[in-house]
Amino acid sequence: MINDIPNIDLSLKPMLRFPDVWQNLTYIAGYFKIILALIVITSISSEFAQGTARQNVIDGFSRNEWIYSKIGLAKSLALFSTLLVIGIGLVLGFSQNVKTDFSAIFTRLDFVFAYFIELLVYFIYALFLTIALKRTGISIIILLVYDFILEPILSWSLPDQLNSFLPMNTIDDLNTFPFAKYVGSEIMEAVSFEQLVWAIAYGILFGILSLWMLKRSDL
Amino acid sequence: MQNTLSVRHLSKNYGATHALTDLDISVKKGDVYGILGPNGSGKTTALGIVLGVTNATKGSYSWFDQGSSNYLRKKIGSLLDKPNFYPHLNGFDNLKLTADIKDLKHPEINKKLELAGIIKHAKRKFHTYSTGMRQRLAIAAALLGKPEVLVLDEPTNGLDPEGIADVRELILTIARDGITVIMASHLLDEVQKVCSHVAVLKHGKKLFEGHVQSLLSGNDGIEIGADNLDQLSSALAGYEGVDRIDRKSHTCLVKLKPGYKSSELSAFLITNGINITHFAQNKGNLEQEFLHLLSGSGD
Repeated sequence: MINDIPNIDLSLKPMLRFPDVWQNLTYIAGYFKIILALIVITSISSEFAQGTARQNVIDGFSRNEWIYSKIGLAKSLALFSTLLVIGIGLVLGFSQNVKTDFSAIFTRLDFVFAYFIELLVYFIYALFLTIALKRTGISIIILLVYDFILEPILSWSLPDQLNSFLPMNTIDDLNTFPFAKYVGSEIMEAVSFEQLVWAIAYGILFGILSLWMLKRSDL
Repeated sequence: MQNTLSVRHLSKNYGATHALTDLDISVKKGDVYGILGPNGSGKTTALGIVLGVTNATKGSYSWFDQGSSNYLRKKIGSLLDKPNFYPHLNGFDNLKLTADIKDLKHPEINKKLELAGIIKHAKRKFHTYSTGMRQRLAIAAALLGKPEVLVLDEPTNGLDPEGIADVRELILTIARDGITVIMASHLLDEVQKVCSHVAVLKHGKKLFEGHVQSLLSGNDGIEIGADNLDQLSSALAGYEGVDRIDRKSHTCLVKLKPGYKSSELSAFLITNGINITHFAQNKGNLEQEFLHLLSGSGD
């Protein structure tokens, strides 16, 4: 019966309304993190190529301080991107909500925080690859190969329980495909705390590994 | 006297290659200390280790008798290998970054740029600098603040003759102010002109460490030429006051034993029928002694 079909609005409008806009926008924006990671890789590998990393240490930076300064760069880039997404979200949300319910604006902001963590952890992962490989080209290739080939193969071959603990899956699962909701399917309604902890743990692990490798290598 | 730098049993291996083997050196406050050696002798490796960018395989070093922490490196002005700056920043901004790392609040950047002769180009981006200008900017960076010690690796690299003379004068001025200078170079003339102490390295091993003058005095001698060099050599070999004879292409360089005089030697040679064409006191020359050290060290 035609009456049993849910009332589906096929325009983009519901996707851009508060509070849905936060989840939808951060999900889409998540795809662009690779472009920003390329900035991280290029900027850090050029520090090795031009010898400025070496000079910073000669001038008095400890290797810890040098890594913290690069994590600072990753944090700034993640923060900038998050603020941009918040700005776009507000513009879209206000333009689509006929009558704005202010409580709706602040609902599901956990997805914005998760987006910040997603970017930060991904950038620290890019930092780790760059410190390990030192060269721009090879770091970018390995980043792309792992993201799009190796981890999907691993995902496919591992049991489901382990899948979500692979690093890229952990980061990506902070915000899963949200648009199924508009055709009546169930989606995640909030960021999983456990997933967030795992993502942060990976960020810390990549940070520690970066420092360990930097300490072992000659600059 | 306080040690500015003491290095103990420092070794560095790259796989099977021994870049540095069991190096011991001591640099006292106020020394102008030259590290001399041919290319590949381990000079830059040694400086890289004491400046924290190369990990030693074995051994230790201590700055100002206080260890090797990065805070101590902030008191050191250094130019290692080649000038490394951010290419998209201008000279002034690059020096501001260096000052920030060194926690310098009033680094007098312009004054140092002027001292190094690069002030005119301070607002130009680093990537537009010539090799000489890059070297001068690196020297300005090394002079920021009031470093207790300057570490310079081939400081006149890429400079024109005027620049070389400027840097040499600058090093001497700095040394007169009591700042310790540690300088690696393969330019013997440069080291002889500015250094008070020297260490000679070859294949990562130390061959000599001490005063430059003590190294040179070992090579003071008399340069003698004659019509017949074979006759001269035989006559010299028969004179009891001769300590060492180095035969060159047209002369013999003779070192006398203590207590013997050159006038006695010339009288001896004339008595023995040698027709002397040249007889001159030869002051010690670092190049000669350096080559003598290297040739005597085997491999």
